[in-house]
Amino acid sequence: MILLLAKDDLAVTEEFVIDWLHYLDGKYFRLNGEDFDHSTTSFNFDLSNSNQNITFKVSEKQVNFNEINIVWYRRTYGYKKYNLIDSPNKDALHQILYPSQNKISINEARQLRDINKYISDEIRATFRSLRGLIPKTKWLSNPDKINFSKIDQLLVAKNCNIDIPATTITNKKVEIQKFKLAYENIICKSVYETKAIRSIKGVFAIYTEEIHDDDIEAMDETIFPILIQEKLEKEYELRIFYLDKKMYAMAIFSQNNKTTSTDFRKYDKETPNRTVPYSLSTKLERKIIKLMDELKLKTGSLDFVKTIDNRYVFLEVNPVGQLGMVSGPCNYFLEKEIAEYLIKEDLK
Amino acid sequence: MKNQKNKNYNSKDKFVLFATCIPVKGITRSLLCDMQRPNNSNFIPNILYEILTELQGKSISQVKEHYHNKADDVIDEYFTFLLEKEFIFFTDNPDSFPSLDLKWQSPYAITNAIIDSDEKSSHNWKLIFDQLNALGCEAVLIRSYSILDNIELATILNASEGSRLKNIQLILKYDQQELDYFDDLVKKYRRLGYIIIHSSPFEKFTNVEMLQIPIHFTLEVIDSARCCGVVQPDYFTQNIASFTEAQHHNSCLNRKITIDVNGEIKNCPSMTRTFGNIKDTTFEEVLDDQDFKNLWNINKDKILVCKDCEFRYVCTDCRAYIDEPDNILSKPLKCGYNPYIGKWDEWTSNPLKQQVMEYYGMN
Repeated sequence: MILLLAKDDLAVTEEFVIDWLHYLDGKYFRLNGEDFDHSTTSFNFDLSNSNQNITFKVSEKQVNFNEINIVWYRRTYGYKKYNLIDSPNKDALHQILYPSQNKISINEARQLRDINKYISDEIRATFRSLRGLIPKTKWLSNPDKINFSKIDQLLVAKNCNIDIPATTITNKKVEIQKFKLAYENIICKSVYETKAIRSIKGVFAIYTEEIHDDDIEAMDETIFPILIQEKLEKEYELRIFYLDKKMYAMAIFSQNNKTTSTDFRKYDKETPNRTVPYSLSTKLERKIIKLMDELKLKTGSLDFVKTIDNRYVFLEVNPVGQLGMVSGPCNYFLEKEIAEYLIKEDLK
Repeated sequence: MKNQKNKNYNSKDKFVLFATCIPVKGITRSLLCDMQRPNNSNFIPNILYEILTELQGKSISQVKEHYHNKADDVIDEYFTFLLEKEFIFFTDNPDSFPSLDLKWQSPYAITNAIIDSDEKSSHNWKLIFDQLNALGCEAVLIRSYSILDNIELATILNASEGSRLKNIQLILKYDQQELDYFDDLVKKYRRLGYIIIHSSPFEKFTNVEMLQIPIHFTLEVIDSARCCGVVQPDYFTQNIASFTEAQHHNSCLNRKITIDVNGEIKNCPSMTRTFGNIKDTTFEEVLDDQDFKNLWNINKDKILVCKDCEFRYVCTDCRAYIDEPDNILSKPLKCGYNPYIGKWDEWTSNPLKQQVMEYYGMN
C-alpha cells in the first residue's frame, strides 16, 4: 500500500499522480492534514504499545499501517484558515470566535489568529507523529530530512564540487559596497523564502531584484539582514526534476525577455519564455546524484543557471516542488514516472 | 534577439529549433507550429522545412555551404526571420537540446464525451455522469437541439456535481434568457467552460462577467447531429497535448464516448453505428468492444489528402461525414482546404461534395 501525505487544496500534481496510480492499478491511500480534524475521521495511536495495529479511517476508506510500504510525502499540512464547517468542535468554537454576528474587532481577530495558530500547530504535530508509527516504511522523501535551508544547500553543493554563486549575508552597507565592487552586477533575495504580501493595494510578491548603486546609496550604514549574490549572466536557466537518480531537465530561455530576465516567476503571458527539454552531461548528473544523496533526498526540483561563460551554477533544490511546469512543456509525463516508482517500491 | 547580440554568438555557433516549434511538411508548403505561442506559427516554404529538419545543429555558414553558397541571400533572409520570430537560437552545444518526445499518454480511459438531447430524449443524467466519472472523463459537451428550460438544465448540471470532470461545454437553443441568467449559472457550476446559444436572433460573442467564460450567441441553427464535422482554422489547436495526440490518434474520436438523442452509445452522435443503448448498456461494456476503439487510431497520416496537408496535426477530424462514404480513410467532407494548391474554398460549393451531401441527407 502507498500512503500519500498531502493537503487537501490546490494539488494539481498530486491529483494527476493519483489518476495515474488509479490507471496503473496502484494501491494507495491519500491522507490530507485536514483529515485529522474531520468528523468522519477516526484514529487512535497508543504510544505505550509497540505491537499495536493502527488503523486510520477517513469516511468510508481505511488503511492499516502494517500494510504501508512506501509513503509519498508532499506538503506539510498548511492550515490557512481554520475550517469551522467540518470540525467536530464547531459549535463551541463558533461561540468563542464570533460571540456576535457583528464585524469582528481587532481583539477578536488576534484571538482568531492565536486559535488558528494553536490548532494548526496541534494538527501538524499530530500529522508528524505518524512518521514514527508506520513500521517498515520507505519514504519519498522523508520529511524529517528535507529541512535544509537555502544556505545549507549551497554549502553542501559546494562540497560536491558544484559551482555556486558568490553569496554574502550581511547587515552592513559597506560590505554590500565591497561586494558590488567585486562582482559589478549583484542581486538580493530572501534568506528564507519568497513571500507574497497581501495589502489593500494588492499583492506584493518579494522577487529576486537587482541592486544598483543608488539603491546602496540610499541605505543606512546598518540594515536589516540581506542575502546578496553575484548576478549570473544567464544563457539559460535549468529546472531539473530528480527522481531516484534519474534526471529530467528543462532549459528556460528567460533572457530574451526583459520582464523575466532576473526572475522567471514574473511571467509574461503574451510571449511565454521558451522552455525546452535539455540533456545534462554525465559529469553534472553525477555531481547532482552526490548532492541529492548528501541532502538525503530521493526526489526534488533543482534550479541551475547556465551562464554565458559556460558555468553550471546551482541555486537551490525544492524537495516538494510542483512538477507541472517541467512535465508539460517537455512532454515528460513525470506524474506517471512518480506513480510507476511508487508502485514499484510498494511491490518490492 | 537581444541576448544573442549580448552573447555575441560567434559564427561557428550552431542553430537549434526550440523544441516546442515543430515544422509540419505539406505538399506545397509547411507549417511551422509554435506550440508555446500559437499566434506566432507561420507558413514556411518547403525548402526551409528541409533546412530546419536536415541541417539542424549546423552553423549558418555550414548551411550556406550545403547549398554551395548559391543561395546565401535567401538563407540570410530565412535566418533573420527565424531569429526575429524566436523559432531558433544559437549554441555551441546543440546536442544538449533534444527534440520533443512526441509520445501521447493519458491516465483516463475516456477523456471526452458528447451527450445530445432533444425534446424526445429521456436520459438518466446521474447515471451518465457517474459512469463518465468512473472512467476519468475530463470534458463533456452537452448539446441540446431543443429548448431546455431552467429546471431541466439545473437537473443536468446538478447531476455533474461531485464528479472529476474538469470542463463542461454547453450548446443550447436560444430561449430569451438574459446574460444575468448565464452569469449565475457559471458562478454556480464552476466546471462550465464555454457556452454556445444557437438559433439566436442575434450574433454576439462575449464573456460571462467575472469568470471570463466565453458565451457565443449564434444565428446558426443547430437542430441535429448533422451540423457537426466542419473543419476550419477557427477550430485548430496548437498545443503539445493535442499535437502529440494527433501524431498517434484520431483528433476527434480518440477516447471519446457519446450518447445520441435516443440514448444510443456511439463513437459520435453523427454516426449510424450504435454499440447499445445507455438504458441497458454500460460504457465499460462498450469499451470492451475492440470495434469501438478502432476509429481512435485513424490518425491524419492514414487519411487521404490529410496526410499531405500541413495542418494535419493541428486540425480537427471528422469520420462521420467523409468524401467517400464507403472509404473510412477518405477526407472529411466538411473541409474546404486543398493542400495540393494551398487554398481554402467554401466546401458546400464543391459539386463533388454536393452529391455526398445528398447521400448524408444534408440540404
